[in-house]
Amino acid sequence: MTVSYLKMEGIAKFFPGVQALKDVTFEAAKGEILGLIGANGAGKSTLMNILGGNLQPNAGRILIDGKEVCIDSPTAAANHGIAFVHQEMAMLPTMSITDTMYISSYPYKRGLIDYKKIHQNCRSVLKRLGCNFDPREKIRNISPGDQQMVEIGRALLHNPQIIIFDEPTSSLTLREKDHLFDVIRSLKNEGAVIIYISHFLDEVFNLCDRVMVLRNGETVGGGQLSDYTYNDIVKMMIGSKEIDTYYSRSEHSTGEEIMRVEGLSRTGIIHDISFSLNKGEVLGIWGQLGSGRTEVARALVGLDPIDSGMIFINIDGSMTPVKQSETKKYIGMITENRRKEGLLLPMSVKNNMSLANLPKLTKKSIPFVIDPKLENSQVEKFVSRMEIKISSPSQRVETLSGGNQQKVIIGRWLQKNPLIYIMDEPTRGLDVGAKADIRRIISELAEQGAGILVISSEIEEIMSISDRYIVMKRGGIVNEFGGKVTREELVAAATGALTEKE
Amino acid sequence: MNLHNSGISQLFSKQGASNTHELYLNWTRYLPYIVLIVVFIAVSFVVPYFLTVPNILSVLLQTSSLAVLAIGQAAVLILGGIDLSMPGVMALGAIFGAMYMESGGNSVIGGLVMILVPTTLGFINGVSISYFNMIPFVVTMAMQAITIGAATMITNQISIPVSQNFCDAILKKVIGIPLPIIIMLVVALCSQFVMTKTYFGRWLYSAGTSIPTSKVSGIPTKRVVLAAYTFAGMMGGVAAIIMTSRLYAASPQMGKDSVAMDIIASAAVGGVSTMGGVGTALNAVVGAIIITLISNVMNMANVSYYLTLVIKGLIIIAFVAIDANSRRKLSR
Ligand SMILES: Nc1ncnc2c1ncn2[C@@H]1O[C@H](COP(=O)(O)OP(=O)(O)OP(=O)(O)O)[C@@H](O)[C@H]1O
Ligand SMILES: [Mg+2]
Repeated sequence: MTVSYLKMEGIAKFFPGVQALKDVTFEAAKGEILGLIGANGAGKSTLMNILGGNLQPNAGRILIDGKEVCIDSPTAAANHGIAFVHQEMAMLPTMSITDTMYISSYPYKRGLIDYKKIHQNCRSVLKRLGCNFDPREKIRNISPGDQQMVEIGRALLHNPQIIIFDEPTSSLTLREKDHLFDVIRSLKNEGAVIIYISHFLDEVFNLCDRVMVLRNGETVGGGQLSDYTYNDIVKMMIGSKEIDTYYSRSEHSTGEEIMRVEGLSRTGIIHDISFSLNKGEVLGIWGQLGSGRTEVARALVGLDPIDSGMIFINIDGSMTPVKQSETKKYIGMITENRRKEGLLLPMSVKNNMSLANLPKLTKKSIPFVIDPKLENSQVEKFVSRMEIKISSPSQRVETLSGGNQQKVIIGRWLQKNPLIYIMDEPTRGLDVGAKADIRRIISELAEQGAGILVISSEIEEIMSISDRYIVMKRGGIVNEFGGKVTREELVAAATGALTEKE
Repeated sequence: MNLHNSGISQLFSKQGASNTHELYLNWTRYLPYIVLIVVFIAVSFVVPYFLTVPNILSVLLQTSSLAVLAIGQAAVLILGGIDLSMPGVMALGAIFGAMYMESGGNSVIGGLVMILVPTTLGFINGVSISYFNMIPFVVTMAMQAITIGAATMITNQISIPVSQNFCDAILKKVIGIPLPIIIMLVVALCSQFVMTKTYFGRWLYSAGTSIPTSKVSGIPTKRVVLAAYTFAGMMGGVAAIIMTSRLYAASPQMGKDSVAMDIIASAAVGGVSTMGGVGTALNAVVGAIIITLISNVMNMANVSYYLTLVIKGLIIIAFVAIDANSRRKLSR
């Protein structure tokens, strides 16, 4: 039996309207990786924010190495050797990597920031993470995966003894992920306490030694991972509710063409993208991070400029060329970056949910005036359809859990019900139950005649819902597959093992 | 009308004020009303007969043009922008209108000119900011320089008198209340209605909170920006009419830079956030009343013009600090 280095005891946290944590107790020992799991809104981030000094508990105490400690700020947490890799990255795009990593702890030498020293430190920390970029590089010039590495590097700067990872893998490529796991294992071997939050249970099984499951702010179980099966864990997370986490779409036919893209190009980013999408069809865009898949999605709705190309949309039965700036009228877009482009953070769940659909929520008698009854009923309908966990529709969206924020964005588009959906990582941050539910929703939307473009980093996910695939590499389409493709073929096409399509 | 609302999320929720957690987090939205009451009480101690109907009407009459300007500014601030050109734009509108009437033009058209010129200038601000991606601060500061420069050149610093008829028509009393006060109330109520009850209003708050999110959600953000600056210009025009009538003349003095400070101070003190997304037209009116009262008191106490500037500047900073601080707490 190992001695526990960290103990959180009887932790409770109230937020106005919800009790996020009720009497949570757990221990973690040095040299072990503790998986912290639970459904969306279970209280994982809240618990870790308490440990990280971002939130104060209403009850309970924290012991480190047997001594009770008071963690009243992130600085205090850092002084106790606690480091936190956050779920939502807060990056400053115009700052250098070094500045991002040292923003809260610049070392000074004779009153000046000692850049020479910190560049060096950054380089060595990044090297440990297997990244070889120049620490003077600006954040906006590196990929989201590398940004995540910088965030992790920042956490490692001060040799922490307790390291919290809150869903760190969502924007990493397979290679980066494997590498991160190696790093985490080596930190473990060096004797750190690691707390790992993830909705990817296979990652948890692969990486963690012990697990703790939270449900509705309470500990519902935990112990050595080897004592549990995948299904045990899911049952603990979700409770009695029976869910099918392996949703897979049945074969079905698709209708007439709904969108056609011809020769979409932007120098250096994407080139000559042409494809068509039919009614009732789910088209998966598969490719590695950085293959241009997100850029194609963004170009289609005018978020990124294009140099050439045409977009046709089936408007009232005929394929009509639509200006790039006008396509948003017909396309519902779920972007990868939910905090920046998906949400009005300080605003209410209600405002966020009706954002795309306002002109249709007006009173019949008076134009332009929003009908509060209609709006409320629509919001309620989609909050319950998406099973979003909120205390009231006026709750500010920034106080929702990560997964519930994502559900708000999806609910917004379901309410608007556009012809075409583009979903870039639609299930990022969702728990296993919600993920399956989104797949079911996507399938239903297709059955109702929508055309859907899905981008996902999870091959199982994209394979469980897509009717057809286009595979992207280095900004171009390299292959197209029908529904019968195998996993190996997809992976090979994206990494370039197959011969490229002419 | 729901007077204690300034946070938009509350305006649209039934729970609104009864939702305890919003109340607890958002106490600062009552601040303007508390300040208004405190200032009122303070002034009524200092000034005898302050709380009489004629006196209050005269304060409101004094407030009317500033309030209308502050409402225009509020729309732009909610959007996350700023309009420093309102005084100059207003002065230039007033001068063109007055010149038109002086040369024998009809007063109705003269009034229209006073509104249309500032509206056009606001439209130009809006186009520069939305379609040419220029920075609001720079564009409107340049516009203030251009308009005030032009106004001074055209008039040679001599004010242009307007006809008694025009002034009498505008200052006429309706059921004992001077018309400018009624104009102020009508403008305030209409703006309040558009801001809080229509989807244009919702678009304004959304764009002020996050342009990228609004864009992705299909909101025509460029047009929203354009509309807000054009509206601000138009409010400059309405204020031009009220001011000209009260001064019986149009003059470049109306547009001095320090007026912009009064306008922004009114909005900020009233509870319109200078960081976008929060505030309503009524907030702007409350702020304008507070600023007018403070100016009056300082006038009576013979505080020098320069000290007055210092005090108003401090007031702006204090309120912006409170706003920023409450936001920081909210995002915890
Ligand atoms: N500042 C806050 N104000 C009000 N409620 C909050 C606040 N922060 C969190 N909550 C609520 O506390 C609950 C737990 O949230 P938390 O973020 O800890 O969930 P989570 O387990 O991390 O979920 P996810 O997997 O979706 O990230 C949620 O219901 C959330 O709405
Ligand atoms: Mg979380």
